[in-house]
Amino acid sequence: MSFAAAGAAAGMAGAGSALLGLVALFLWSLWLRLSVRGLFWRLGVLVSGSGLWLLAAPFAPAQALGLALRGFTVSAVVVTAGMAVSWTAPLALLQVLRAPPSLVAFLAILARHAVAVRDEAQRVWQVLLLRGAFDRRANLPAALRILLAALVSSAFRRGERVADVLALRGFEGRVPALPPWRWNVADLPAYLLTALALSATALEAIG
Amino acid sequence: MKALSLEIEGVCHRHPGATLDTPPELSFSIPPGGRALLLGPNGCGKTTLLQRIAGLLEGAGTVRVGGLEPSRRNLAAVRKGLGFLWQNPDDALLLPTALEDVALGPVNDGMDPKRAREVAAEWLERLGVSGLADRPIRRLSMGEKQLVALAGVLAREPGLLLLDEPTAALDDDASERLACALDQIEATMLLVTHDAGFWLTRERRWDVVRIAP
Repeated sequence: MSFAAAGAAAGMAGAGSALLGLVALFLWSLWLRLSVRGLFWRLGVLVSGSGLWLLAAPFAPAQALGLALRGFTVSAVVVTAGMAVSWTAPLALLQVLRAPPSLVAFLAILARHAVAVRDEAQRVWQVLLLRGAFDRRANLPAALRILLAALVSSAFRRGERVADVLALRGFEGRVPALPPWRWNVADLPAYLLTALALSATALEAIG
Repeated sequence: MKALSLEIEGVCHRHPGATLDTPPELSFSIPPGGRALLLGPNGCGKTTLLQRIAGLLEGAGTVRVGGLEPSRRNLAAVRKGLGFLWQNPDDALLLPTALEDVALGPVNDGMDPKRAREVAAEWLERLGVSGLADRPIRRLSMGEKQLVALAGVLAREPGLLLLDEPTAALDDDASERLACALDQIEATMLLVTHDAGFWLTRERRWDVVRIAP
């Protein structure tokens, strides 16, 4: 694990070793037994942001490519750390830090419904798959349009339903306190890595 | 809270663009502590009627919950005494873990947060799902979610319970646990179902309200 942490930190320190940092992160996620599939999905979202730079690698100036790689490494550290810590810990930590209750309430409800939306996306994806929407490459754009439309429409429906539920459950902006935040040795490397990654980014921006 | 009466007089509802009223004109009443099954074919307006009672929709006819109409002026008072269990528990569970979700209602009713958590734990215990208290909602089965959602509704001690096909997605065991839990509650109940036989064979007496297509 210390190897992974050192590798990731090295990756952040210089563009040349960013790839080494990514490999270290990958090893760390294996050591933590994180879902490799989940990790790749999340990293895929990041790649879609920095991917333009990576795709343009043969034509991009070396400095730009280095920056893209380093940015991606920092993001990957945060994503991996986010997967490594127990999932209510960040919310509980916000409570300890006396974050505004409305912010904690918003994030708690968001956390719950982000999962519900993901499940819905998976269901629509599976329905499309079973109904042969991806059988022919030519169908792919139409299938993706259906997926997007279904998600948008269900998001509206869910929004209305959540508003009804909040009204019927007497919601007035108060959210019960989450379980008290406790130090967990297993989470420590994740917090340290996140802090390291964010500090490196901040120092880079200042310097 | 003590059980509330429910009176429905000439209630009907027409959705935008529809050519038929769903439900068609309907009148019935349930005395405090009474229980009624609401039966009818798909699309006849059973859920719509529940939404009318809860003040989520407006339309023709009169609804009274404990003598109060769910008009804008009385809405907060009516909803304070009313519990609504949705058919799909995924819609109704708002917070990431079971205990916090059940405590949501009491906390918003002004209960001390520590006491609210105790009340939530008690309700989970009463429904036989205390082991789920700290489990993330996403890890629960549909039956477990429905029981947690019911605990969340009951934790506010409603006088009138509106239940929209609560056992539709449950297996026999989970349905039985949910029905046993409802047997112990003294609130007035209006329950939408397609499985009248299951409820009519239980010890507690259920009246039947049918919506004709």
